[in-house]
Amino acid sequence: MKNLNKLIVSITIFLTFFSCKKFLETKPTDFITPENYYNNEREATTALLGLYTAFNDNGNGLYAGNALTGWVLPTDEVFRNTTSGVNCLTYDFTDGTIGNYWNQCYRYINNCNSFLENIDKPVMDSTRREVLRGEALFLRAYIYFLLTSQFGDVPLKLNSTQSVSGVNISFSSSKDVYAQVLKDMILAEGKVYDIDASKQQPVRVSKQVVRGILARVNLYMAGYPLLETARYQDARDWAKKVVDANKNALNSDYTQLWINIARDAYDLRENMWEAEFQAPQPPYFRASGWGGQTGLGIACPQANTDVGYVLDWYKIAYSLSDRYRTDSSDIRYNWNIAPFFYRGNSGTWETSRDSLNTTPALRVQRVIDKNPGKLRRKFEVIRPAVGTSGMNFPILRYADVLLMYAEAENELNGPTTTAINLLNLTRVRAGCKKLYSTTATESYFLITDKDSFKRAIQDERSRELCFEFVRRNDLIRWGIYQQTILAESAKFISNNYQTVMSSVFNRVLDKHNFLPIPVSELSLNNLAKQNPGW
Amino acid sequence: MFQHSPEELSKQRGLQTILILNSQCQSMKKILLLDVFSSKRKQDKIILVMKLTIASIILVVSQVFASDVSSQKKVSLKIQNAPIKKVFNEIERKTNYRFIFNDDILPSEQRVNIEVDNEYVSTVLDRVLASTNLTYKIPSETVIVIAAKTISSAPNFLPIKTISGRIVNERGEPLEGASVKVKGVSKGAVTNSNGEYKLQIDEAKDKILVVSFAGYAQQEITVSKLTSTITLVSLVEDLQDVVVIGYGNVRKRDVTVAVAKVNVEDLQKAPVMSFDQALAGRATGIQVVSQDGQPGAPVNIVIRGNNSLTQDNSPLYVIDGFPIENPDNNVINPAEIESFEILKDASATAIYGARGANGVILITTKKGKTGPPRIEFQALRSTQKVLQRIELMNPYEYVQYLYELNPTNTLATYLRNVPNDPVLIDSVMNIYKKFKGADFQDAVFGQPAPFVNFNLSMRGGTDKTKYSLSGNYANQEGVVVNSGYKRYQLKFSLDQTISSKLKAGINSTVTYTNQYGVQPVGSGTSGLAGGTSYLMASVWGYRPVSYTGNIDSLLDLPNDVAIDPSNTSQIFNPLYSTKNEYHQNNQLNIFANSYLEYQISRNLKLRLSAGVNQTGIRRENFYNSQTSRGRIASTNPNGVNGDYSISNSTNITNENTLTYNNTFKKNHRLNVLAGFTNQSNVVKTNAGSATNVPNESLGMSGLSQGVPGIPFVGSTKNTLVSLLSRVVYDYKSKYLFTASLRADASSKFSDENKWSYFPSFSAAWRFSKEKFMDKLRFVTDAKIRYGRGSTGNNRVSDFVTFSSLASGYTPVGGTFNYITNLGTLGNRALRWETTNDNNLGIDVELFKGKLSFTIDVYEKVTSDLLLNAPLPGSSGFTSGFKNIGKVSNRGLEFSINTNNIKRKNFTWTTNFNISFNRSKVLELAENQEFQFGFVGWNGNYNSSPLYIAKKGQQLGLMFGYVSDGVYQYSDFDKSPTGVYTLRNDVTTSYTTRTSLPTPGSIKLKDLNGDGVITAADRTVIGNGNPLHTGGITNNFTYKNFELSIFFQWSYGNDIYNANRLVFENGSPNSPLNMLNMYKSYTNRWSPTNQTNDMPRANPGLPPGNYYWSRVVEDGSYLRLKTLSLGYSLSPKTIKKLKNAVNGLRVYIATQNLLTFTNYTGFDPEVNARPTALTPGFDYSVYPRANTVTFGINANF
Repeated sequence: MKNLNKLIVSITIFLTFFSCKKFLETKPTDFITPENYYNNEREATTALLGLYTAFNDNGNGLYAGNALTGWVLPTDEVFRNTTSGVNCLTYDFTDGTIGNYWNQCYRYINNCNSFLENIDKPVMDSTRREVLRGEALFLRAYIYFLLTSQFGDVPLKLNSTQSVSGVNISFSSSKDVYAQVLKDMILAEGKVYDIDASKQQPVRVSKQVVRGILARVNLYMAGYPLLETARYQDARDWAKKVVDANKNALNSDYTQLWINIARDAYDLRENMWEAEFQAPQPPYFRASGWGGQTGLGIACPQANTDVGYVLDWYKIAYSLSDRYRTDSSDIRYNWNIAPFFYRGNSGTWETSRDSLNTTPALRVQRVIDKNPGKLRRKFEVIRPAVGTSGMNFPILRYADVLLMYAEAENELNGPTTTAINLLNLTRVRAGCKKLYSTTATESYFLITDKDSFKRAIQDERSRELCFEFVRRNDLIRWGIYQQTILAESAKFISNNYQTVMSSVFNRVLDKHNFLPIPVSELSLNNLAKQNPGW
Repeated sequence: MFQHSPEELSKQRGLQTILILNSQCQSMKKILLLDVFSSKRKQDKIILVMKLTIASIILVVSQVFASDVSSQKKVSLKIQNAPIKKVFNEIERKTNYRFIFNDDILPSEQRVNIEVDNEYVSTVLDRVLASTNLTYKIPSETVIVIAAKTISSAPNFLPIKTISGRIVNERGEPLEGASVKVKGVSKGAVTNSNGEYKLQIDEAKDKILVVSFAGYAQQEITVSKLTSTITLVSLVEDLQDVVVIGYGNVRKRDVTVAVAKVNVEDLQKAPVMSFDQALAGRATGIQVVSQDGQPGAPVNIVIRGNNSLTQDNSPLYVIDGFPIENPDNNVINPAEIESFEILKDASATAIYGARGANGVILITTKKGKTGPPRIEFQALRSTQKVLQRIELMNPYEYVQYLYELNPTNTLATYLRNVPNDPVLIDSVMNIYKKFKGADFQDAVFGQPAPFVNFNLSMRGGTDKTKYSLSGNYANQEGVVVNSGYKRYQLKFSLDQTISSKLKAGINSTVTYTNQYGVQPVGSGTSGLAGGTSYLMASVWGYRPVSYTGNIDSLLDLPNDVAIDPSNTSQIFNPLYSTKNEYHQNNQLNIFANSYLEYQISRNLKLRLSAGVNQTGIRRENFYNSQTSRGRIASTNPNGVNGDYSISNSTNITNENTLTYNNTFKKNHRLNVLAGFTNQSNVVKTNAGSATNVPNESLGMSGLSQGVPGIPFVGSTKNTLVSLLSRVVYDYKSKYLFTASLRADASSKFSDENKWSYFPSFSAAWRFSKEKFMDKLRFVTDAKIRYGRGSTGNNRVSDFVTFSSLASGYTPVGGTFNYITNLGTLGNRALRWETTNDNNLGIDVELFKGKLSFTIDVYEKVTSDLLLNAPLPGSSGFTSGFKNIGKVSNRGLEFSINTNNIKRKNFTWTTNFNISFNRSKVLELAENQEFQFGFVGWNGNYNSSPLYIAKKGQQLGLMFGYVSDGVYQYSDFDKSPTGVYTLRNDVTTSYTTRTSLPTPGSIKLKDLNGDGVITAADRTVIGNGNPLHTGGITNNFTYKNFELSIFFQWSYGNDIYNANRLVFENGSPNSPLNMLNMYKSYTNRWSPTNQTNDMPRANPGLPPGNYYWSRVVEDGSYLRLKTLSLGYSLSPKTIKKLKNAVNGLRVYIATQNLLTFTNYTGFDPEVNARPTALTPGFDYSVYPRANTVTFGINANF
């Protein structure tokens, strides 16, 4: 009995006084914490590549198929054939798509901030460290650029969020945000690799990309709403720097350019920067690019391994079609506006849209039935008979740089020969007649003044860059967004083809120059303020 | 050395033996052997064999057999001049007999000589003992008891009288092994299996008898007042009168806290698989809403309202002393429940401190009881049937509707390309009148489904050893084809008293469950527009007729080939898919708990316990080519696919408590508890999947040939250490006080926030014991009690204090690269959520228990709410765990028990209970005035909020637009060319006034009168919380019949019937996906039927697909939940059956027989998205079956 007593007492003592401190210390076993990361170059690189998923993230990627990016429809190029939602001007501040876009932007800004705070941690080659830092700086600046160009004043956060409290943050003026964007991008330009650096992976930003985007940023700043016209000089300088570096050029064949995109053949000389997508390769899955089922391709309602599977969602606006009509030799017309679609079970059966409309009048009237044709799935190498497309999406093309250069030059110095020559580069490639400033014999379009050249540029940008997420913001910075959309509405009536879509265009108001600040931000950040009119 | 104590004997024989002699016999001069072993031994033996045969369980137990000569062994001996002991020794060596005797009584001097050859042992003993003062008895096959001769020992001049009688417990059950002793003399008897004893007493001297039995209060009875039956009162008291309060029991009368005791007997009358399906309405303060009627479907149990907005609100379960946060209730076999208590207020739950905030459910399972093996067999068979049907449009109505929706397409298909002429169209349409239409509801859940449940148990024991062994098999087929639930369970418990101070026990359960088949609630993809991938939605929405007119092919083919040749329609033949889908959810649960109890001194007891709860779950899903998700079609990139996951959770608990119990000066009772517990929980999960599986005939095993997905491997762990203490004091059972303090440390929080302290205090005044109450004789017992305390909650995942990195793969330059990104935002400052609670209650018993009632009022305030709080997007995160916000719950609970009639042949008792609870949001996440609740079910609606939690208001309010009928012609100006333009004074529900609305469009109320419907026109349109819930049970017995009627209700809650958003709202869809509609939708607005309720076909959806109030319905109901009629064999009949059975009850029971409700959906008892923010949502739920059961319970 006595032994038993001892045993019980000792068990009790053991149980009561064993180290409960150690027992209570548990550590996560199936995830990594940020504090334990960034130990070496490899880890730093995986974190940097993570920043690029801002664009192709499944569901919310800023350039993923059916994402909002820049690209709130309708424009005078394309519209979505439906009557409600963010593409039909029925959205308000509760719209989930806009909320997701906002959240995605800040999620990756926070990732960039975290990356920049940790990049000095790994022991690694200092040059390569600066390259990574430069990319992160640029990506953060680019996302801020997207944000402020869509929403105007936004919170400017340059440190990562460390705590769930203290998350109220005041909005910075668009001017301040742009200033930070410029600062970071210029810093990045000095750090990132040159375009031909051997180790560079094709979708990562190079000096040329940073310069091209800097031209774009400066052009936006020069236009509405900041109207800092002095920025035209910077825009011109950055664009010129791209051109003078002599590392980029237009692909001589406009259609080949898009075939290359479809084939995932990186044509970095012209397609300077692309958002990368990849056909699903199990087990990995990424969001579909814009070539996919709900994307900008040629309608093929029945899935088919030859030509892919695309819903008949996106339709051509009258204005875009009209712009090509001025020059019948423009090869971009029948490429960008697909003259056919795929019908029936056999996806190879191309059906001419025009053939369905027997009279010329009907053909004009029904031009809006056509689909965008830039992204053609039949050229995809991996062509699964499904909705997902691995087609990349161009964020910056050399053609755009040339046109920006021309535009800035015109704003600064009027339609100089330099400006006109720049504009002619894309026109000539497309098989169009050149523009001339003098009445030469070959002249087709005569440019006499700054305004007519500006109009020529505006139209040329549309012909060349349609469906590349730049139109809406171009119209806004030119200060003609609302009037252009209203004019498009009128074209439905003048073409005697009044569908419900004309009323969609008719909904545009002045407030639509900016997107509304999403409800989640307004209700959770008490320093948030709504844009006027919302 | 040959002396065997009973303990040793029990070791030798595996289990406890029998008898009488113990160490106290040391001083005994005489031992009176009783005639414990009556004459009808053989018969008993046969019965026992029968019992065992029926049980098919082999268990070694002590049995008492006759010592008749024929069954004796023979022995050969040759012993010269040896002590008597030597003879015993030799017999022990040569046979399997063991001797029990007291050394003192053996004549040590005496020597014996004996030589026998193959003689009966009894013969040998007769010879050996002839010259001594000793006699013997052979009470079993293996034991020989040697004792002094009684009568012949001394000349007997005094009158000897034989008394006899029976000893029973309060329930009249015989107590075997109870002792009857003469006070002051070593003379006594022990009862037999019938509780009977026989004792010879000396009438002159032996005046007082002492009757005792372990676990019962000792009684002294004067011989002259002796009655034939002595009733002993249990010390543990009858379980009906004892309340388990956590780390101890108290008498119901002495309870100072709010605790509800569920009447387990009533509960067990419901023929259900798991107790939670029968719990609703059984007790106050507990709200039980099952998600839907699927076998094994989760049931949402909330005690006194929701505390937490985003975290789990389910109570803590303590099963046989083992705390488990989220047990699978299906693992607990209702038939095994002995008692069921619900601790409601903080003064009761504070002893579980950290995890008591949501209330505590204490479940005690059945254990062994002293007595002979008691074998119980229960069997039931139910037939379950879904009687409810939603009426759908018939083929003619369907085609008519399609034509309104999309004339062009319908002309080309259903109308067979007739020229667009009203007369011709009409004639073609009329063809469809002759088609009956395919009835998918009948096909999918039209067949009655059986439910069988078998329980077999054997329980028994002696005062030292108690055992229980039971098994269960239940098989519930679902009413939906190819679905169901099975359970196999074995349970064993053993309690052993090792010595007078030491006791140990083990309790273990092994359960295997298997749930299979499609789950309608979770069957769909909520992201998909229309929500049509859900089972019920496709059952209702599938076209009733093909345009080829063939109904059979509609039922028998995966898709309507005529309309959908490439099989890409969103809705797939639901019958076909359901039959072909493979879903398995197998779970193996091992629960084992053991304890050691040591009585350090008379008042101080140490208890050490340890337990393990191990759960292994294997889930498998396989979609072959004949299913919606596995079909070979362009829309399905995954082809034939499947996935599995295996998870293992191990929960280890150790609890050590010290209890001091004493009574001072008779009136001061003190009970002090101190303890130390620790618990750890580890979960490991592996999962994998494969797509495009080439050989679907292999099923799950074919996955290895498919294209593999990324495997998932996860693990997580949490630990908890607690110190607890409690003091219970009462004075004369009149003034009662309880105070407790618990300190908890959880690994889930960072070092500085790990510990938290949870104090509580409660007091009660039993004023019925006061003098001034003497006049009020009808008051048997009355008590007022008040308690307050605080409890905690740590229901967050194990590592939320840590930020995480998310990783994945992204294409860079054509190849996939490993990447990392920030994942979730950790919060190192996170701390315990605390609930402070006040409870005032009164317990009154009147007219000697004829009527008793309990009233409780409470208020609890939960602060530092653990909230997965939404963060502004600019933070880079959309949510993070915070301690934020405050919610209060106030309520009133009332329950009453009455014994209406109590006659010999007829009794009637009633239990009625009703609970009221109001929640109020006091504070929300930083700066928030309100928080929206979203419901994921349909891509068109998911981004609109349906619920709102607003500061100062209740949780679970429905939020949306107020319906205002539909636009009528009178709302429009008609131009000469026939164009309708909305009148200027009429508000548009759309963003435009031109193209929409048109006559028949949806009309919403413009609350702020600005002429247009905007987000500002949303308001509260419903309330998912009931005003009150409750239940009423009436039990009748008439002779051997018993009838139990149980009604349960919920009043004042609304249900958002989202089914009607889809099926009474003909929204345009691609021709492939045209859904059939509810029959009610035939009364939609049309130019020829200008009603003002449902919109016309293709009304055009208002922006953002807003939720509107038209489909908010009153969810109040009164349900005849259980009706059972039983017949038990009377004791007389049992006797006639010669004790082949000890009890037999047969019964018929029905579940969900009748429901009174105005709700138009399948079932008002529905909660398809059970969170605190989103109560009362209905979409595509599994219909609840009506069951009729026949059952039999038999005791042997």
